Amino acid sequence: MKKLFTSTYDLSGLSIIRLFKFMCYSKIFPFGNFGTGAGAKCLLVLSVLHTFGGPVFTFYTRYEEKLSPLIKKIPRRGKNGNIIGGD
Amino acid sequence: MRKYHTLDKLLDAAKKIAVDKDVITFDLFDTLVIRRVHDPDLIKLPVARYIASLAGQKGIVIAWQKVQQYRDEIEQHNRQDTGSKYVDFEAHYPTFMARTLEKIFQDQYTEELLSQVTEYELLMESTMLLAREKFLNWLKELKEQGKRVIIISDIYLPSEHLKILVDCVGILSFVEDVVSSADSFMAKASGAAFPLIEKKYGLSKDRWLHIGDNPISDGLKPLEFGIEALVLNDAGEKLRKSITRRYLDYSDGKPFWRGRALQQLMAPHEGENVEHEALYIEGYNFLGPMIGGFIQEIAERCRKQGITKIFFLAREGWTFKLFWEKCTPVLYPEGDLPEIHYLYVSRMALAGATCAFQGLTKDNASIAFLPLGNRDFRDLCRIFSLDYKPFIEILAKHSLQPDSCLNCHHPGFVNANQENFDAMLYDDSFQEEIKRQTLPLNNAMIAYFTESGMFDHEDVAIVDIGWLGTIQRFIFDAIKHHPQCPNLHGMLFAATRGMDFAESEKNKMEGLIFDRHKFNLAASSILYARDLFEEACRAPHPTLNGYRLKADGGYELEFRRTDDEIGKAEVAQDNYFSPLQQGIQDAAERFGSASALLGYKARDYRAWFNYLLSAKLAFPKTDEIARVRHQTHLDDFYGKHKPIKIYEKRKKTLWDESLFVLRFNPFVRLKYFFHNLKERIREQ
Repeated sequence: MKKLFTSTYDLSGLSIIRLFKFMCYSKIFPFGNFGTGAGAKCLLVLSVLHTFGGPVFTFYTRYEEKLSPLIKKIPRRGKNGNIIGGD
Repeated sequence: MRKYHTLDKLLDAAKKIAVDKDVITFDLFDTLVIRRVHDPDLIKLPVARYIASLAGQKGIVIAWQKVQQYRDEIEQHNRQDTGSKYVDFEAHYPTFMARTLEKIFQDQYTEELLSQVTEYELLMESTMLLAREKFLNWLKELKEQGKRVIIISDIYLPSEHLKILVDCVGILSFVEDVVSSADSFMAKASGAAFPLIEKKYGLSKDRWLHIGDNPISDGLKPLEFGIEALVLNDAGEKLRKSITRRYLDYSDGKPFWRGRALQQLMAPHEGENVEHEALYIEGYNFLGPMIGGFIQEIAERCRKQGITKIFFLAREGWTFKLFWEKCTPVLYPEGDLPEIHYLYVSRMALAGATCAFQGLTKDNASIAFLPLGNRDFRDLCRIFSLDYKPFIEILAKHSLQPDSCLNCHHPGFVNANQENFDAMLYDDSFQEEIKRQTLPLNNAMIAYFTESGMFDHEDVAIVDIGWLGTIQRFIFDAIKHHPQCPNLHGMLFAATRGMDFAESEKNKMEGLIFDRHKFNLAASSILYARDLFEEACRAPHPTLNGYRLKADGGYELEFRRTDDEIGKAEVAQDNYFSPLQQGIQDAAERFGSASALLGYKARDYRAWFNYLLSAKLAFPKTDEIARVRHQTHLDDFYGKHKPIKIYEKRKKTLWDESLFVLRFNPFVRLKYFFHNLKERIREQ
């Protein structure tokens, strides 16, 4: 007996780690057509979030007020491709 | 103001404080209830699409993006208007939505239109909302303790709408009232709502506890007013929303994630996320979304091709029809969908009826000898519901006996038998006898099809699980003589082909998830475990044996008995797979609302489905095979004769391997993958 959705907000039987491994193998073997593929960065971010997101977010929410100004300083790319944030 | 980072800690504190309080007020969204989606504005998008399609039905061409733009602008004006009279810049949904609709529909606008749109907006909201289980349990305790509970929300929906949502999540019976800023334009954000509520409900500040998630509206403002306040800053919820946001954002640029985003929105939370059997999980997480994609594609094609009726064929069509009924009301709220009907058919029931006008064709006869268990003319008679005795003389005329071997996979087969049999197919006396015997079957079938509405439409869809398209071929052969014979559009879950299907303008067939005529290596993984899909979708009734003509010209459906060995085995098998089927059915409604919210077409999920098929069928875990692989597949179409030993051995697939090999041979999956790859390339 298992839950459909795991405690890390992942799908039972279709975890992000399974997807990660599959996509790594699909770089070697022609498993089929997966559109544009998962994308290494997307896979990595989601794997980290699903795996270590719990402690990271617990820490972040506890010190949100102190961390928010620091996080805003990290430059990142917006949806239109422009760099946003950072000094 | 006290801030808590987990719901448990907040509840511990709140329960202690509540002892000295008479009234507890709660914020609604992100406190008592959560949304499956990270951004509440996303719920407006399917509503915009709905309005655009309603406009289309009235001859107004407008893109849904434009509808959304009008809504945003008018809502903003509404906020400015109220801001000029009150402290808060609140909006009132019925006002701004009526104005939006008036702008779009102009003189075609009616009050009914507003209620239709409001109903859909609330439906979408309610499908995306759910109560937080621990709060729900506490509300029950508070009710038992006789505490007053009031919900206060800063939102554009008036309280009568909020009450509908609160009722949907099962909270309404535990609260005294639901207060919305849309009614009074006095919100928590400015703190104006609190004195209003104090006066309206005769509350005392020192006996009042407020709980919410916004540090200003639910923390600072009540505190300034003199109410004790607790603020929930839930780390878990933030993580969940962050993950959901990423899936949705990534799916914009990378189509691969669209199906995964869909599944993230379908996922159960809180009290819904209870433990289930492993088979249920396979049904919900693996088969459910894929069947949803199949159903959505059928709906899209029917609209595009002007198909006005869908026939879901027995017995797998049972599951498809249930899925359709559950997911389409949310997915296609504007209606405009074809009628649906579950049609009782089977190869055995239809085979005889196909011969009433065209006689027995060579192609249809060869279908009878596809299963290795069928060997001679008696098997042919069993399949085509014929009595072999009147044929004995005709057979003898062609140097054949009822038990002459006609299948090359059996001992005793000689080419002369095949040649004689082929010659007999051109014998008029043989064909006349065939037609005489099968005419009543055809008449009964036509009576049933007429009652089912088969001949009331020009274009109908024939929906089945797969594989060769034999049933559709038989249906077309049996009805093509009818003056109102419709155009048949076959839509199979997977078309594995294998036999030439004579396509024409009146009779087309295509596999939507997999079609052997279109190269798709990942989707071809279906070939690993075809039976799994049949077991997962099979209806809870026995197979149809035939149509019987009654004396009054009517018909009767004859089902296979369930009290013999095969029937009992099938019932046992159905019981084993019932959690899998339940999982599929439970996924249907969620699929509808998630796909409506995302607004993707069925083809957008294709890349993710390819992954699901590859991962679950070509590269499954050993436990998954052990759980899901079928035990025995039952089919009366197969005879009982034993072929020559070399043919007897069924071609082995990964799913036939022993659990030991699957667990300990690290290359077994790759071996079958390359076999499959080789075969698919050779087919092209």
